[in-house]
This record gives sequence, C-alpha cells and structure tokens, in this order.
Amino acid sequence: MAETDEREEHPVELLPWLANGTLEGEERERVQRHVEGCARCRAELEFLQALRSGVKASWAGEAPGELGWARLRAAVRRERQASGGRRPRWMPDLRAVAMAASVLVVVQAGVIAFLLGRPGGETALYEPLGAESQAVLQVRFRPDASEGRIRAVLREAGVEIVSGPGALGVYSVAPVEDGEEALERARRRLEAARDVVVEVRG
Amino acid sequence: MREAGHEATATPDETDVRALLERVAEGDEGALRQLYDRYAGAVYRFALSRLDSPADAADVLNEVMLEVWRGAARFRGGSSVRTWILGIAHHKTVDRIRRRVRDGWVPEDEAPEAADGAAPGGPDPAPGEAVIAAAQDADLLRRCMERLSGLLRQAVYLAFFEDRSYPEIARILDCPVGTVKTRVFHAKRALRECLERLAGAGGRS
Repeated sequence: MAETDEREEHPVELLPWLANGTLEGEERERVQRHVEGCARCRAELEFLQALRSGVKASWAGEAPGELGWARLRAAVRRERQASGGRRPRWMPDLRAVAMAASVLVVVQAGVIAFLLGRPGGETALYEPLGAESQAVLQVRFRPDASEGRIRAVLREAGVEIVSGPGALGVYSVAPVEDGEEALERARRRLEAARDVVVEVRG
Repeated sequence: MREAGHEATATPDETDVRALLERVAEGDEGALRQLYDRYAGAVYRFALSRLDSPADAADVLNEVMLEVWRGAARFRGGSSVRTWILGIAHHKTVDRIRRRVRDGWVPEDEAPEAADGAAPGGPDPAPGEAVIAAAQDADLLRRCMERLSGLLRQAVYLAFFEDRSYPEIARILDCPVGTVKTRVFHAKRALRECLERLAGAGGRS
C-alpha cells in the first residue's frame, strides 16, 4: 500500500526521538541518514525541535514544594503510628490537643517544651534539630502564596517547618538557631511577610 | 535497544538515588525528603499534564511519594528509579481519571488517536517557517497544549519536556511502543493545526 510504503520510507514517527536525542545505535543512524537526504523530513524535524524548545520554555505548573513535603511528612507520620511496630517519633498528645480545639491552636513555646519533655511520654524529637525543647511558632500561609516566596520567607526568617498541616492548615515552624532572640527575629520577619503569611502565633 | 539495559546503567546519579531508596526502605525520612526534592517536580508536572487540575496533581504527588515510602523495598532495579516512580505516578493518575468517570465527569476518551481517523492519503506536507516560529511562541503553544486531550498532552510532556525515549515512555505508561509513537504523532499533528490556525499561517511550503 502506497501509504504504508511512504511511512516506512519516511520515519516520521521516529523524528520526535531524534529531536529529543534519545534514539540510539542503528536506529539513530538510519533516521539521521534519511533526514540528511530528505527536505521534507528536515523541515518536520525542525518543527519538532521548535515544539520541544517551546514546550520546555512554556510549561507552567510548580510543584507544591515545602508545603507538599510537610503534607507528605504528616502522612508518613500517621502511617508510622498506625503501623504500630515502628517507634513513633511524633508526640501523639500534641496532635490530640490540636484536634480537640475547634479554633486556631495557640500554643506557647513553653507549653510545647512541657509536652515534649513530659516524663513517661515519648521524648525523642523527629529530625533532631539539636535542641532539647523546641520553641515553635504557629503559622498560617496565604493559599495563593507561591512556593518561591514561601521558601524565601522561611529562609529570611531563619525557620524550618517542623510539622503540619494540622487543623485549619496551621504549620509549626522553628528557628534554626536557638534562643529567644532568634525566635523574636523569626516572629517579626514572618509577621512582616504579609504576601505570604496570614497569621503568626506563639 | 534494550530499554532496561540502557536505563539501569549505574551512572553516579543513579547509584545515588538507589542508595536513597534503600535508606527509605529502612525508614529514613531524610532520604525520603531528598527523593521528594528530586522527583516532586517531574511527578507533579506529569500528573498535571494528564489531569489538568493543580489540586488533583498535588494529591497524586502526595499519593505517589507515600507509595514510594511504603514500597521502596519492592524496587528491583529493572529500570531507573525515575521510571519506576513515574510508573507509580501513571497508576495513581489513571486511578484518579477512573474516579472522575465514576463520579460523573465527562468520560475519558481512552483512544483519542482513533478519533482522529486514519492518516489521510499521503504524508503531511512539510511544515513552513511560520508554523515553526509559532511553535516557539510560548503563548500560542500554551493555548494549543490546553486544547489537547490529557493522553496526548501527557505524551508530549514526556517526550519533549522530560526527553524520555519512546521505550521508556511505553514503560511508564504501561502501553506498547507503537501506541507511544502514535500518540506523539497525533499530538504533533493537532498542535500543528492549532498553531497554524492561531498564527493565521497557512503553513504549506
């Protein structure tokens, strides 16, 4: 059939992979050789290369990043608890406190320290940040805040997300540095970032 | 070309991520974080290319990485870690499509290329300069990509954004290589028609 012969003669269906550089060996040589001698396939290849660079330049859609990781980690923690066999590194009582409150949880730095240091309870911290008791702030982010801005604000404030999202989309953040000064500086900088942060407590 | 052999080459990069996966299998959350940082973008974009919903794509990303967390020990090394993870992403994406159909959304056309009909007699004429230029116009291209079906858009994403080989795409999408080639062929043709229309270019040379 003429059409089949045409398509076998012109390896049009392989040109996209010549364009993206993934053809190999004999197949690549064969297609390359054909293209060198065929004006129409050369033009087709040029179009595909233009598409490829256009696609790379114009593809929109940023992955959730920091907040996506916080969400994943929360899910992983729940799995660990549920699986029972593993040693939980997350303090269950804290979550129970958060869930019990139907309003935004306001947790003072001291209260966190108390809960985490309680005798008989699980005292190991997940991803140890080097501090025995963690001073944390409770933060809510604007839903339209970009990933880039969130990351920049966290960096400038010198904090890391340590848990969340909890009830009402609240995250706990802790300063990387110890001390009251670092905590205050973090609070000030977070509060100042109105394009990203809705509210800071703690 | 044996895709598995080509893919499973122990480049320094591939060795690194396999080591990370082993640590994940041992319950190392830090290793999971590193895998997340490495692959979240690709998984998210892959899901978004098919689902066209940022919220759904974010959900799929979460489900995929959770699956990586649970199933790290199951990775056998028959493909690259990237292919394995994108394969999981494919299953989660398909699950979500099925849920949409079940919940009464417009049913997904599983074989959009069939709808295009057989290729008309003879191959397409060579693309002209105008449409080649239009392909590089981000605005025009984005509009045309939006009009593609999820299946075709996803194929374009894997071939041209991720630069995957066609055997690897077949592996990720769990379909024959012929299907991969056909989808990209139809996607390219649809994009060309759309670009020609929007750019007002005849495109014939």
